[in-house]
Amino acid sequence: MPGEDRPIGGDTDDALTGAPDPTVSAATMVNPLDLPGIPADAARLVGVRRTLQDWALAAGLPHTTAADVVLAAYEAMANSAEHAYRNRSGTIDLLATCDDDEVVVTVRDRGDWRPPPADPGHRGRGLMMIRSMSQAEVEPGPHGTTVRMRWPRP
Amino acid sequence: MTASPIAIDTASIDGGVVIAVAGEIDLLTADELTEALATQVAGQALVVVDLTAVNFLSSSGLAALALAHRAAVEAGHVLRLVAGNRVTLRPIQITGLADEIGVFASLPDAVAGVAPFDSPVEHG
Repeated sequence: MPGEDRPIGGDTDDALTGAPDPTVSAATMVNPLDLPGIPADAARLVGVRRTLQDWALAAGLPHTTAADVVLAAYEAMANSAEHAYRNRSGTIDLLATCDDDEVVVTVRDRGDWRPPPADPGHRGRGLMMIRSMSQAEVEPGPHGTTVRMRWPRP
Repeated sequence: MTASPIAIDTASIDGGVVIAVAGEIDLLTADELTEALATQVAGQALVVVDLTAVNFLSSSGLAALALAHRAAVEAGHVLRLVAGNRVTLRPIQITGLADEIGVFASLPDAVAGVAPFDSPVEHG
């Protein structure tokens, strides 16, 4: 049965066939993807971005938008893994939601915010990519950093 | 399922090498690319990095490419990229890396050094 290998995003079969159940609003066609406590480790982020890609496609996003969602979210998580938790372990929370109007992905860590240098040089392109690909809000705080990325639904 | 290995194959061409990369270039694999490129840009007059078979390219991968490009320039050598797909073109373009490094749509174009992608357009 189509979609039976997807644990996340129920009710997506109708969305994919273009025959949505009229009793179900579009806003409930895909469940939020809530992944708290992801170890901030490069090896773990590979599986997370694949899960997010499956979710984005199940949500019916165009492939180009789904690719931007995955890449921007990955950059936010990689930034946490690489900078916020430098020399120590920590976790990342990822929450992705989708309704009729927009897709919102929030990445939160509990590490230290490190402002990118004015000249990113070889590094520091991650934040530039996030801001280019999404409507991004970066909220540094004493207890961690939250990056909220939005995409209007086409 | 958590590993994201990349394959890096190097082939000689007239005047240099082609380094064909396949797989996902991310935080986990970028160091391998950095090391592979460092050796080649130091010794080869022309290094063409073929990203055609790359299906994910994060900022850590861009850093590896930028670092290699700078090393090539400092050695008086040339580094060119082949990036014909949106998945690689998009990050290269939005970060401005395409303004620094010659980006070509195909391997023959990159080897010949003609018809560069100097007027990038969104493939979306």
